Amino acid sequence: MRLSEVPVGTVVEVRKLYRSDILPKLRAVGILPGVKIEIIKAAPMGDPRIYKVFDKLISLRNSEAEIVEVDIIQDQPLPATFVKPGKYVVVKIQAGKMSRYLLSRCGIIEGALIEIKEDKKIVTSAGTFDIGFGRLSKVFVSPAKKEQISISNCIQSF
Amino acid sequence: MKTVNITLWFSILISLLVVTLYFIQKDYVFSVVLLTFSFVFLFGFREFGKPSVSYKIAHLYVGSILFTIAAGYTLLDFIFSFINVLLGEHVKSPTYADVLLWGLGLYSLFNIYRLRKFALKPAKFGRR
Amino acid sequence: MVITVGLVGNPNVGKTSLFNKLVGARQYVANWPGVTVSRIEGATSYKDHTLHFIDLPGVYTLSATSIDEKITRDFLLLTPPNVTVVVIDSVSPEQGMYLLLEVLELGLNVIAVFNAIDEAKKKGVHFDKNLLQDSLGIPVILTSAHSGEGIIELKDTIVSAFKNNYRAKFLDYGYEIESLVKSLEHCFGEEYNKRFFALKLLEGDELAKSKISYCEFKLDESTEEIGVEIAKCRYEYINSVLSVCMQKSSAPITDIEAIDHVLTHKYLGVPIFLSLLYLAFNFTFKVSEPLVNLLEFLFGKLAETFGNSTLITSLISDGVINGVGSVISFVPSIFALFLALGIMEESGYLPRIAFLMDRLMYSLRLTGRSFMTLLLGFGCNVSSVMAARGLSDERERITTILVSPFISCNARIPVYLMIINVAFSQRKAETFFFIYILSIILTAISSRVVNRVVLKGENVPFIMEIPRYRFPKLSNILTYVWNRGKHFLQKAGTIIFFVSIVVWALTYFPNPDNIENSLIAIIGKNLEFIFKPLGFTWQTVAALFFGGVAKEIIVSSFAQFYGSIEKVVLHPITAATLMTFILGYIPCFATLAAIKSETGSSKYVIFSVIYSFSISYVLALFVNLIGRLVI
Repeated sequence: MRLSEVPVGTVVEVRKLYRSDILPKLRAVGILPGVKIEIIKAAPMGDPRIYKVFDKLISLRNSEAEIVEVDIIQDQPLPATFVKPGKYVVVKIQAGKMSRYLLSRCGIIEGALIEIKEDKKIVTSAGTFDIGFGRLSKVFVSPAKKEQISISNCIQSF
Repeated sequence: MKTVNITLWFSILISLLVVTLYFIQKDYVFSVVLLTFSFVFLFGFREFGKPSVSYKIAHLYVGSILFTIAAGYTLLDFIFSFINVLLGEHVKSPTYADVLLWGLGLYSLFNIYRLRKFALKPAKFGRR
Repeated sequence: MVITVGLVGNPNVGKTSLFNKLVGARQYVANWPGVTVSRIEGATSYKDHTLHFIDLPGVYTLSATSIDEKITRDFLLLTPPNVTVVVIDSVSPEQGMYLLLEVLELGLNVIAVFNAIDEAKKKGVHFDKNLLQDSLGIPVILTSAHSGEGIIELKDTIVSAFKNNYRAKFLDYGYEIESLVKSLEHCFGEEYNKRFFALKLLEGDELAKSKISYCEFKLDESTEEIGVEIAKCRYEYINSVLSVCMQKSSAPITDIEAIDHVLTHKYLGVPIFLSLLYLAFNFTFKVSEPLVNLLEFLFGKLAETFGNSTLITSLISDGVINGVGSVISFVPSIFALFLALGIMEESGYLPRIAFLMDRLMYSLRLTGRSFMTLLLGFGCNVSSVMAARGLSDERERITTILVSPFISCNARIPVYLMIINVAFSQRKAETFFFIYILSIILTAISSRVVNRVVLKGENVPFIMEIPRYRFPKLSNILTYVWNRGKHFLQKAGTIIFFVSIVVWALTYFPNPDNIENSLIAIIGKNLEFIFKPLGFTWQTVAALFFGGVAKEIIVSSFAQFYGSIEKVVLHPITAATLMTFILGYIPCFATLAAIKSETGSSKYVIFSVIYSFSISYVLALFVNLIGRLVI
């Protein structure tokens, strides 16, 4: 995955840098394989973005962040659009009041257990929903642990 | 944090009152400027999730700084108009809006002082 | 003994403020990475030695791509100083130490300085100085340019380093790379630092490639890997050193995150910036107004006491006092504007604006970085033309230089103020704000035009560090205000003084009583036909003619033609047209000279003159037509 594609708020580890003229500069500010980078925030319209490298804030345009190949560090909440299909726990919802209300009607609230299907449809305790890409990217999830899955199975069997 | 919410609400109310007063006074552009600043307070309520308190404080903190700047500017304007005395012209008399803005500026200054340790000490609340 | 000392460091580590502290010189420190573009020097004597400091432009690496980086690298390579001081930010030392390792590879006599130690202490970062010294093998000093801590110790160490000549061990990159370096070292002539060049060659540096003289070398995928491997090695070493020598108690960045969240907010960021800019202009205008009035009053009284009955008294009162005085009266306004801009720059707010505005600048084929350079143009176009040197891309640099004259510089402030006072006394601040917005729009349009017509090319990278917020220090702001404002005073004393006398002479002769018959009226009336469509009178035309030298002269000329500024009459439509025209009609002589010296070709100077004259003319005509239709 390229650094420019990673959502705001996640921590990534650099895997590889592609060939480019700005490479020496990127290397010197510390963007190197193995280094952890946090995506701090995006400017209006999503470009450029601020990254945290070794406690320094560095602003990069998406066209420049594109030459950095990264891996998302797994044990952190990710937007639901970025995870493989499976069972997840909703950790936080980064959205306004309106979106939260709509999501809560689908059974997506903080702490809820949800299942994400291949086609990005979401199975919750209230049913199966297709809530759309934009809204889904605001739902941060982390993989559900074993016991959580079994409890929910019990509830479903009741 | 209840006090943050109360302070936010109080600041919004006063600032909107100042905005209206300046609008009545036909200082349209200045009232728009102040409206932008009060939106900083207002947007504090759009913050949800775990670090919402720290972000609310940030909104309150920055909004207070902005209002202090605005109040400081009108105050300087008033003080410098005393030079007019040398030229034989009269000193500007502060309007209700000015006085209220100074009051709000003073309150904001107090808030900045009070929130300084919250807004500038990262250890108090965890990372996002 | 004279000891030359080079100051090297990342952009924005407080290198320049350390320099000021060491030399006691008054040189401005900015939060914008890359303000120090030219070589700044200063000397101080210490214990029978003269320490000669050279403040080098801030860089991250010695692999040079921009002019700044070339200056620093070539200086260290070609004229190595006796002692090199590498300045490192204590709060986040990693990137600074990377540069330190690169400088060490040059085999120079190096001292490492961890600056801003007071800030670091406040944030719970502590260093073990002796351990650092042992592991790096060079002297380490902890300093603070803010509190003055460690400055004396630094001077002491410079002297002792000069005597002892410390040379650090080189970093060992492991068998594979080291053997490659060995095999490449013989490629370079004896005059070069072989190890440094061999490493730089592996990192893919252009200069190193050009210096190969004794063997063939081709870059391929595997050498690229090695380049990354070298950088990784350095960072691994840095981390291992820091893990032993540095204690951190908490994440030092969170505080900015929260405040930044609001100031660079998705929706609020830009409105807040515009509001603050409006307040800044209003401040310039309203707060300083009584002072301006007072000065005008005093100059008027002074001119009255001299009278204008004879040739000499007329020269003094009408020529010098009225001409120069009318310009000097606006000094409080100019200083007030720089006070406001200085606070914004000192606090670290402006780089955030560059970040917010980058998307917009991107569509103009510029970067947020050039936005910052252009903001300097509000002070003086010459300084923004010069500051463009810090831009790494040649095309962006030329574009920035060519559009700089459209930024309303402080020389134009008195002209606007005069016109606004005469024609728009009811809506002063709004008109002022509007003309600045127009100036920004004109700059944007011109940038598009320049990129379409004159230059074509790729987009420019935008790698910028967002510095920490700082509470603006009064002394720094006053230095900033003085450095920007003194230029105005110097101009008033020299060029404006002379042109005022010329204008006075042309008005006085041949007939002092009837200005309609004067020499200047003849010039004005002969040129009037060009400006007929804009509705300018011969007085305006003559003022514009002399204003080509420096914009302030328009004010002094008007003052002389009408007797004093208060007596100037302008119709609002003509006033609006005039303001639009003055915004860009021709860059002043100093700016043209700067364009010539920075671009190195008169082609761009001619383009600048013709383009700005025609676009302002068209725009002014447009304003005039609209004005006539509306009223």
